[in-house]
Amino acid sequence: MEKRKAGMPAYLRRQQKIAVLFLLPNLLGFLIFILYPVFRAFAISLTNWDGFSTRDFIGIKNYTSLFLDESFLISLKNTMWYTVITVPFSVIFGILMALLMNVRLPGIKIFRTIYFLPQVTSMIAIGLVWSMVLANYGPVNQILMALGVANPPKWISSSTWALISVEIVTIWRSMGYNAIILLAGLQGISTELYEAAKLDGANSVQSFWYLTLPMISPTIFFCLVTQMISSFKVFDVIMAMTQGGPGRSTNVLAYYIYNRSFVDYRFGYASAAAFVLFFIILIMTAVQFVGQKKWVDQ
Amino acid sequence: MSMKTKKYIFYPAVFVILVLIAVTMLFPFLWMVLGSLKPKSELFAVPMKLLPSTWMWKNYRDVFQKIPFVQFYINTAKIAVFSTLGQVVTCAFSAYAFAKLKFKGRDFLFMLYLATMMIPYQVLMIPQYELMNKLNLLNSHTALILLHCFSPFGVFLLRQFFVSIPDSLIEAARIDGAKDFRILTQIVLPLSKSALATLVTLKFLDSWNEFTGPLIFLNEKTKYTLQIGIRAFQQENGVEYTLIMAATTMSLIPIVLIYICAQKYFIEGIAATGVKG
Amino acid sequence: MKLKRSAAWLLSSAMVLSLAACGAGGGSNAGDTTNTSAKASEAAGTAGAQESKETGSMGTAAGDENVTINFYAWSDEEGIFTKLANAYMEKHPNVTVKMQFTPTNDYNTKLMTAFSGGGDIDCFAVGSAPTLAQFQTKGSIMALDDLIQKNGTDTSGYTKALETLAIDGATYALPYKTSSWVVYYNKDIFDTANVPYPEDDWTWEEYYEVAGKLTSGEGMDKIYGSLNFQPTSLWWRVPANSKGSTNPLNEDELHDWMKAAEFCKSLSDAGYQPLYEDMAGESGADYTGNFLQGKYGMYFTGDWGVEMLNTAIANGDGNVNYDIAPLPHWEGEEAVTPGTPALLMIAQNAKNPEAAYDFITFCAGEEGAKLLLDNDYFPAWQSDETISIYTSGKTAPEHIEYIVNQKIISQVPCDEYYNSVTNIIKEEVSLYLIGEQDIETTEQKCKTRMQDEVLKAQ
Repeated sequence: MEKRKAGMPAYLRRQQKIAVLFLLPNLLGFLIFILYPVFRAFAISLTNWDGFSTRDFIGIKNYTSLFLDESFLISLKNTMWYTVITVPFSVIFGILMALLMNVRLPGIKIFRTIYFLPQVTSMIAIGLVWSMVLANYGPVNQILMALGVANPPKWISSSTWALISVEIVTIWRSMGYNAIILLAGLQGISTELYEAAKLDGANSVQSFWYLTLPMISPTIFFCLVTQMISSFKVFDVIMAMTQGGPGRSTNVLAYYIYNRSFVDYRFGYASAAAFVLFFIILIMTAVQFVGQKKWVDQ
Repeated sequence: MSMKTKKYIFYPAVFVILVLIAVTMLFPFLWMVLGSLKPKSELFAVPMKLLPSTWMWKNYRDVFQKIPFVQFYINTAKIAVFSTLGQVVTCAFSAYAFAKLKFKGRDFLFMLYLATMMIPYQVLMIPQYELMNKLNLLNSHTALILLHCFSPFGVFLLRQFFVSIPDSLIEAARIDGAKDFRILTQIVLPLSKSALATLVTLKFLDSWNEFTGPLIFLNEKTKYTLQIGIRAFQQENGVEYTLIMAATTMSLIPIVLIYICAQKYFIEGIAATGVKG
Repeated sequence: MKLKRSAAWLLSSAMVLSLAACGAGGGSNAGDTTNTSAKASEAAGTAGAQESKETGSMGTAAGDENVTINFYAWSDEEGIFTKLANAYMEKHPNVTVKMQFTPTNDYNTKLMTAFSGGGDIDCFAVGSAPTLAQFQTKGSIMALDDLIQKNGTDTSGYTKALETLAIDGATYALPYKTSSWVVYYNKDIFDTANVPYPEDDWTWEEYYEVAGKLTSGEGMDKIYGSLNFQPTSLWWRVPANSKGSTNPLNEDELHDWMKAAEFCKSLSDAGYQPLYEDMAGESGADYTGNFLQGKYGMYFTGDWGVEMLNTAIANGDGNVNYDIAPLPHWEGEEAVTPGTPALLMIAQNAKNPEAAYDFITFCAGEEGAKLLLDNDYFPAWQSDETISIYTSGKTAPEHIEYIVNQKIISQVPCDEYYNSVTNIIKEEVSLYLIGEQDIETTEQKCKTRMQDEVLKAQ
């Protein structure tokens, strides 16, 4: 089928035309409102703009200075570490949660609604509750002490644990978000397929691996990429829980960029930091995008 | 799995796990709602107190007194509704093109869409402001709606769902002489109800809770949104936590309702084993 | 036509400025850097004033022509500026003051975006002097001296403040309100511990002793003598401010800040106030709520604490029997308290600078001061009359006069790098306060990082 299509230029040409027509409404708006500002921001990253005076072109000087900037490197490291931890866990837990939410049980709709609540609870409230739960004498540490841990971690007030605490909260919050999207993916699988698989003698583990996972793989890919992007841009949860501290232990790139822009007024430099971040995400997404052709069912 | 093990072991186990997760998900929410009814001095009391000693319904009245809550509500709803509609309509076409049509530069263009999601908004604020200034759209809800309509999120989400619709279905329709417009509206979209419901929920959530856009584009108080109003409770020398919680509690009602409505487009669910129970 | 002209002017002044900024970037000493750039901007400022005369003649000078002024402030100030603007518009029916209020934490972001994105701003308020210095260095605010002279503006109510705010002898901002720090204390805890209330002048050493005497009990019922704040805040520096050390860019003053951090930590180490590591979460920021729990003997904060406590108590959010005392001073030093004047400025490319000027002088002047006083603000305009109005008619706290009686010095220096370096200091000192870094390392790291990340980087 695929090959036959490729060999039909007239057919393809017609598809091209339709594609242009279909793409156009969104593409126009996208070019003006989304892409154009991105290009402007990139242009700023090549200048020494301080927000007020002229934008003098200084080439890649901002980029080279960044790699000598200790604070930048620390926030880059924190951001990478944060991403590496939160992305896999929140997607894997999201898949498991989606499977649970898809079980036919009385009251499942109530659970589905409850699982949505962290998305609507204000970040401030989430930050407050979690900092109390993780406080030095809070419930978590009391349980740990009862279990015989003599010196439980100082979750949010030590530079060793602060980032980990933020990661835990992120995973907790975003797994529900991913589960909601993945649940929609699960809904797309028709029950007949499962029945057919059962007739073929597949057990439940097999039908999960060979049927469910491939069918929701495009959705998993979506979750992985969006989760990665939002991890790299994380800001709110840090603001609500640690404000980047103690020291620089939870200083992430978005926080760094914000401070360079709106505290130091070094907009050129801040934009450069943003584009370093951009290139990293872009490469990782491109890798995933190429890689997905192998594992994503399409 | 036999019916018996299912009934007596599998389902109860699933139920227990569901409840445990639900507790952790519910707790901060409950704490927020109860916190909105507490006196200030009790919010951070050690040890943690769940119920208020005096129920401060007054906090809710204070929200209405301190900010024009109803006006902000209407503004936010307007922006969220139009953003969501615009996003769903324009994205459906693009997503279909990316998923089911072949054209030159498809992957490149798609990567470009994704790439723009990767720039931290902190550096886009000024370029976007300049753009809206040039277009004379500052201090208007249109600026916000436009930015939402064309965000790449919806295209990406829907494309991923459309991709999993079998090509054979679409080919068959084409052979029957159906035009792509009809294939999209009569085959693909009806098959993607749960995806559309998800997009509507998430986009609505996103535009409802958006803070930065309204902050930089809107100037007049009559045009402000809920998030700006709520943020104003974080003051110079202290934060009105209880009022923030009261206002947030009231503000999230539409999102939860939309989510519950969207769930109607999800079927009851199939057993996790993959077989109907 | 008009637009083109001002654009061309803007461009040329911007060029002058960027040249000046380049020159300033080379300076390694903070003081030098500020001075060089200040001079450059002064030149630009005078140019701005000339320009303003030109455009101004189309404004209020013409008399009853209709004028609109765009004014920006943060949302805490909404109430007071709405009243000020209404009062002003009543007197000047041809003027419309269009006001834009932004949530406090995001005000700077909004202001910067609007400034750099070419939004319409005539005049605006800022919370402290470093922002004035930043805007001044970038040449985006107007020098007011010519306008003051031309209009014969009476500045006698804030002469001293104008001196501290002057940049190279030029005035760029008018103060409209100020603040002062005092100690708040829970009288019941003093009574139980049988400690006399702190009155008149006292030292930090005495504060420490009193805190010790007030501390009692264990575990959940422990009463602390003193209340502290998040390690990531800058609260711990106030004891240094009280001896005039306000600018950490000066090595001596930085050293005083370190001494202040040591003092604050010693209170925690002795058990007189909670450990800083236990105050790391958001709950550590809610000092009013914490004080209202009745478990803390004393804490120091600004005059705004009075209104916050009184409102909360009237609201039924808790109840404490409190009073205030002057801020302590160091042994052998003069008793002063830091205060932060909030400022009004005019944008360099304001469309109606004359009208804007008239409006801000109204707000900062005597008439504005009376309105501020009516609304429990502490106006920058000070006279015997304002002091008596401020203290009269208030029932709590009993010693309200301490707020206006203390000798006030400016808490934040007019230094454009202040905001950037305090970020660094916050980060390093938070590590000290939670016990992860000793004070020598902290001081050293502050110095190196200030050099590398702020001064050399510009």
